[in-house]
Amino acid sequence: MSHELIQSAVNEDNKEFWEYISKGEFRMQQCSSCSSFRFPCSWICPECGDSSFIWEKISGYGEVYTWSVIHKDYHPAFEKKAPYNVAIVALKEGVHFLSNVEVSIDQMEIGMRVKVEICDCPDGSKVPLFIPVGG
Amino acid sequence: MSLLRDKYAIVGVGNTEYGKLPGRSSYSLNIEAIKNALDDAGLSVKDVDGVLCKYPSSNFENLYSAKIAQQLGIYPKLIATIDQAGASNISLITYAAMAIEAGMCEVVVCSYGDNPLTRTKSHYSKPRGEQGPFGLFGTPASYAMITQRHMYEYGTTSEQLGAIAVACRKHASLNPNAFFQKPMTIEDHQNSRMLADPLRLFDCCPITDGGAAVIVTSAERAKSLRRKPVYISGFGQSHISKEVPYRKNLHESGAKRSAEQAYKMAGLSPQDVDVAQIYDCYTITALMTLEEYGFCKKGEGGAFVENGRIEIGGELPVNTAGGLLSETGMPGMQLIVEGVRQLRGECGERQVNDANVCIVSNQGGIMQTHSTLLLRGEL
Repeated sequence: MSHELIQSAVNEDNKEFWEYISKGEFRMQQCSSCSSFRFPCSWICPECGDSSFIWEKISGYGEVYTWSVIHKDYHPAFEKKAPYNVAIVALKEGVHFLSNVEVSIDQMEIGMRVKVEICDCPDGSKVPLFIPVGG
Repeated sequence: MSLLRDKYAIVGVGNTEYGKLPGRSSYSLNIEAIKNALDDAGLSVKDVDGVLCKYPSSNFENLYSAKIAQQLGIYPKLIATIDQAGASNISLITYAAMAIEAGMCEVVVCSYGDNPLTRTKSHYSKPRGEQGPFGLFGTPASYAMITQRHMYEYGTTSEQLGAIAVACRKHASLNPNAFFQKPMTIEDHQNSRMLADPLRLFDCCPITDGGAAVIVTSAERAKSLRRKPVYISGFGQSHISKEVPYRKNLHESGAKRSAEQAYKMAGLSPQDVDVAQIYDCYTITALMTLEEYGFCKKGEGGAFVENGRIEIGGELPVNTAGGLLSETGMPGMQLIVEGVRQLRGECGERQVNDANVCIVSNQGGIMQTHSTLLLRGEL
């Protein structure tokens, strides 16, 4: 089921991002000219307009910029999971990334420090989720 | 002075019933609204030489405006169907004025109709962008994440958002065509179920069927028509374009830059505005637009909307027909129609006294697009 949602999200531009995730690696495009990271995937750097890039490893550390809660069962892959959180994580590399934080809703707060963890879904597919880090 | 200020006018407005309209196609809703707008203007279908439509939100299809022209039985010089989502309808009017200015046509209908309540609401529950694997479906959670951030940065409260919903409902109770007419209190708002924290059900507009249309022509031609013209004094657009997860800050939308263009073109400022029709798909949308339009400072929107300030009789009456929250969840044309009726003084119990300047906002996606219209009754 998660596999189906990943397949529907994958396109020609972001397929490498998801291929790295399936290998357990959290990588994003880094501009070869100005070194800025970018997401979503794109053929040019939104900072400087250069089109050369490499797929570079992301630290995976960041903090919750904002979050909300989904209360409804929209899809079988998330059946009986509601209510669950969705959160935008501001990564250290300066990129925002939407995911879920593996804590209960009452623990969610803006500014929470988190780290990526590439998790296995029941159907064997992998997704980059976040867990809190101390300190 | 701006080249186009007050040179074009809205000379007719029309709409259908709003609500659940089984058995009606989106085409027929457009056609009914257009026919009503033409009758209002004292024009016939044969006078129309431009057709601009917003595609139906629930059904994106090719050649939509051509199909509307086909049903009208006309051979237009100008057609286009544009996609700025909820910002589209104001933009149709701006493109109509520009096309007439360019000499391409003379009488343009700008129209929108859709039947998502009857036909399919699936557009409103599909995965958002590429975020399906993380369970982000529909629109509420994205607006909620913007709201969460606004509350964090400025201390905005759910009760303050509720004041917007209450004002819209109060106005809708004076509008016999509104979808929701039963008055609502802040307590009702606070007791409504959590939709996507911190947004509650009553922070969110309903999904409804219906259509609305306006007729645009030159101020010169308007002189010989049936209704008092409502002049297009200024307009603007501004499009952040980025989806919510990719935006570096969420406390601003494109509203400020869009309104600045409109104010400049019209030679008007926020102090000149008598009545406002502000896109309110969610309460937070209206609150942030009021801030960015300059009616209060950034971050002070919560305090601004309290204590009846945005109700009829208050300092700045907002959404006098009920807005998206209560009149109809249709994306935006109804706000323009109400703005025109207010400036023509036709609104009966909900009429704002001496209303001469109206600002209208439209926005689309999750604040990815924005358009602004400034209308004037007397020059």
